[in-house]
Amino acid sequence: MIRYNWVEKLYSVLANLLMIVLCIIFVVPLILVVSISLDNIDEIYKFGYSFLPHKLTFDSYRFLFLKTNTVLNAYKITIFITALGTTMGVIFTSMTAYAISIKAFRYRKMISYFIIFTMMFSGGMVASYIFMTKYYNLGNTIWVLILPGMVNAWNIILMRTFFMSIPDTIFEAATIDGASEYRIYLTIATPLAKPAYATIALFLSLAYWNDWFKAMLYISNEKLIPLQYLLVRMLKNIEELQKAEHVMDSAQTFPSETIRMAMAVVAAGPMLFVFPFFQKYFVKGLTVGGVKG
Amino acid sequence: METAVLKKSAKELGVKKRVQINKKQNKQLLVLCLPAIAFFITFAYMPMYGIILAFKHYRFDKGILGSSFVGFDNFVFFFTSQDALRVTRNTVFLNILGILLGMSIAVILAMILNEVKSRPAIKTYQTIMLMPHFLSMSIVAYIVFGFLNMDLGIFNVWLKRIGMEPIMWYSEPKYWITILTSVRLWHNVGYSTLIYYAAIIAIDKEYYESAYLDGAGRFKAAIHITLPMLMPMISVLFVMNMGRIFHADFGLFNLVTLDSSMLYPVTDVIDTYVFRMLKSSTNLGQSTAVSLYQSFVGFILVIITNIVAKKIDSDNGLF
Amino acid sequence: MKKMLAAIFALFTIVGSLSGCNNIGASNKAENMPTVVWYLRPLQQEDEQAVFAKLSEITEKNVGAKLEIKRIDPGAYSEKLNLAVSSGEKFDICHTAVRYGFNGFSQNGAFLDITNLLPKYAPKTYENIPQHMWEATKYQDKIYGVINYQIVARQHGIVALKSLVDKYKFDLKSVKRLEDLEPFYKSIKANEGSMIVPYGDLAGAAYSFALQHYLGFDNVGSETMPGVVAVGDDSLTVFNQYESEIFKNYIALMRDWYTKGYIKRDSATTTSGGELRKQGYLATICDMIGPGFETSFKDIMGGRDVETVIFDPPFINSNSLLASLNAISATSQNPEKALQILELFNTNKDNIYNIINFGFEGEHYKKISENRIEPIVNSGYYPNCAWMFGNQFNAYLVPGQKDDVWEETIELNKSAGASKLLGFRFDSTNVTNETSQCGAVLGEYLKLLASGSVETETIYNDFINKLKVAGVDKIIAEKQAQINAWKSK
Repeated sequence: MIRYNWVEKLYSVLANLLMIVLCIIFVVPLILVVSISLDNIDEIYKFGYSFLPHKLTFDSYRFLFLKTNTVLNAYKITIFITALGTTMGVIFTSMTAYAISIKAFRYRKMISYFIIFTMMFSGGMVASYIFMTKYYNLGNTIWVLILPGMVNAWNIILMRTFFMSIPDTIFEAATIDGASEYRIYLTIATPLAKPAYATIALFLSLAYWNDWFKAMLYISNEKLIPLQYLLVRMLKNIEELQKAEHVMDSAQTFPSETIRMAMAVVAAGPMLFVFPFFQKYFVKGLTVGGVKG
Repeated sequence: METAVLKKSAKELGVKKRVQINKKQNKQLLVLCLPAIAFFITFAYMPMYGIILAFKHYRFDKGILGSSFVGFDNFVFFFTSQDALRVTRNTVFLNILGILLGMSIAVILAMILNEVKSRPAIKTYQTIMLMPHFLSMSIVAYIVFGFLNMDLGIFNVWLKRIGMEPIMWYSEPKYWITILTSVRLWHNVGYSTLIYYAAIIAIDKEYYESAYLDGAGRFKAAIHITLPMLMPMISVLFVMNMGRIFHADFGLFNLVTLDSSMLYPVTDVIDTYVFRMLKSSTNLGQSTAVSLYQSFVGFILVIITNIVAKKIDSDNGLF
Repeated sequence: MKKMLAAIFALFTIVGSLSGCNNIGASNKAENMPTVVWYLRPLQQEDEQAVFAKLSEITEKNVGAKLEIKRIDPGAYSEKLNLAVSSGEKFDICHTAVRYGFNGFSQNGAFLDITNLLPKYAPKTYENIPQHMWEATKYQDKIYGVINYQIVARQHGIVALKSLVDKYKFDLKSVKRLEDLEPFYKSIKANEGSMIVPYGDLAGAAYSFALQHYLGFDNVGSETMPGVVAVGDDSLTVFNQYESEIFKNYIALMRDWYTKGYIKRDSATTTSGGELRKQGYLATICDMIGPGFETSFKDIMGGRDVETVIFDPPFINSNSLLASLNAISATSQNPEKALQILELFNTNKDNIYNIINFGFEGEHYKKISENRIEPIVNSGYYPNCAWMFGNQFNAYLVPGQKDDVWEETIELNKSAGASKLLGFRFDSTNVTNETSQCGAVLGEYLKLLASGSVETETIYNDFINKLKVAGVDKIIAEKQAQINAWKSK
């Protein structure tokens, strides 16, 4: 164990100080978001944005939750696709990452190229749309929100790098015992790479939680609308109506800045509660102790 | 002296790389890869034929396959345009700046975070640093607007209070390299720091133990242990980022700048430029052509950077 | 190797069967009746499923085809329609307009040529709209869309807050040119404080959306692309409007107003126009004006009374005619039935058109008289876009509309001057590189110059030079050549 003397203490204090200063800078704009969401739009137009609401009001949130059923349903959908997508995604990503982290794996280079190529080149939105709707029949199903985003090259490569930092001798020992690769993957590699799992799981959850684009393209069934798209479409519809008809459509309620900020809080807020759940896997040093002796 | 010793002990601890694995194990590993391979074939490779649109004049009644080939015609509009050079330069410059700054700051922050002992403190710092990443670029644009807008923006209000003239931020290109880079850092650094932190805590404590026994200070340990052990991760991320160097974050350069044309000399990038060109008439062939160009250059850069990274140390790199 | 293929195959099957689960039960009903699919973009209504179901019943009875309405959010309509068309999706009708790519779609084979089918299967609709208006839907002499008859004659002018007009006793009605507004703006600027903006045009939008005819430009294609014909010019000579004295004077005026503080300082970057209007910060705006628009403007200005004055005589051009139409897709399996359905919506007032407009009587609205209704608040169905579904003049009147608003509008349409270019459609295939590059230059410079935000001398010269490098002269020549060819036929 590292001895805890006064030099350690000093470094720790300095580190803490630096982080606190940094975090204050980071948090300031976030406070602004929350403050605006609780403010009154007329006051903002008169006096500008401020870190403390001029006139505290929950109107913006009330507006968003007006159609409570729709919002609750959207939360349900988003939670479902995030949970399922992240779980399956982490499993498939880690399986592949583990395999290609083994230097002696015969198909390592081939599969790596195969995967990385997809990160560089894409067939474009139209071709994807054709496949999704015509050939795979995924249009307007919940699966179109889950499947395409499950596995991506970036995450695989990231995890592979994590796996590669585990010394091979550990695996060596297991193979001598006659364990299959599946066993090694499950019982040895995975526990050792907990921070990696937590990281990828976090990134996947974030991606699923925030995605609205696929819903916009593929979903027309109201019961399948996820949270983010619900919010974004409120904005986009108004923008579109404003542009197109000027006058012909009678005035719709403009989502003022306060409402947009409330949307951001409603959309991003839950992540604040999810994140600590992943953090407990960022545990230090359960590594090579198992090898020596 | 220290580096050589430390590297040597690193190799000793894990030196025996598995050079041989038998056929059965190869097959097992292959099976582990199957789901991902299936996914990529389904969702990435099958639609890839859409790339040929870059060489076709698209007609709706003929579809992608039936439309006629026009060779490189679709590329002409971009490459003969007067501002192609300007936007390419902006894209590359701002991206490189962002990548270099982003990576170095994230690595440093991860190392600093490693010094913090209290778990609750670590969790708090990480959460706060990551939060900006949860916000979409359109919200970020509003926040920036809250600071920079002419009449009521926070910066101008302060300037007025200390008796100075308010600045028309959205009309002065000279501030925007800083503004864009800062916004980008604020948005992304939490994400990168998390990755590096996860990599750091995987480093075996043994290395640090032996270093301190040899009398090395924390600083030296950081440079001679942490950094080299992070190199594989750093180089991988660097190479992957280089692959995206011709792509620009549309949200950052279009929404945050409010698409202010006075800033174009600094903020106009390939993606915003092409978007503007094709606004009058969406030409699928032309937009696919530019995408292909961006991807292709990125691909070449990945290959080159990877070769360089591998030359430095065979553990580095993407392949 | 075999194992790998087997596993991949298995995965495909799983994915395929998961999605297959959703297709069961779709087509179990009336076996032989075809279904006509119609893409529309009203805002979501709670009761829309019930209303749409009823509509299908009616079409089944009258035309022998089921109707499936695919409602898309207006904010996603452009992208979704693009994708549906680009992917060769099979549908029958879609709402379209110039802004939704009608030009590109009709020229590149996305829409069906209905020149012969239209008079046959939708005769009354065809006869009801004056012949010369159909010209706008033509490309190479073939008709590609069914016009939704509504206000097509465009007029534009100034909408001002009545409170300010009264306060300064300004004779708004006597204003004939923009310059005439200056005394008004001077008073506002001097006395109303810094938050109120006298000339509330933002990012120079009025130039493209409201002032083309006022400036004497008859657009050949989009409002901003270089190359226009002078209004009323029989010789149909195309010129670069940006090099004209008219344009130079216009931007000089805008610059003058900007320096005097009549235009919002950050006009070029403002995105929140709607909210500024609602808060009453814009004293006047320049916009399209028509019969019955006073009510809408009052809403837009946050409930404040307004007064309007019109600059230009009513005018019809291709863009105004193509503001709302329904096109038949080239992938349609039942174009005849589709047209018959459109005929139904365009002619049958009480038993289908006003159902899609307003829902069910008693449930969604109260009938006041034969042609007038009062919508029930929060009833669950009030899309309020009759102009999307058919002949708007058949729509019931709602509170806020005068009894004779449709007659007035039809009169306006009839009496309006028409562009000499009706029937001509510019095909940009030969100059796509130039139009793209000019588009970039315009995107960069136009809003700066049209909003008066920049010193005009050097910026204007840069602008003109850049246009030249981008090939603007080639576009002008191409336009002229095509017009000459069309004229001589």
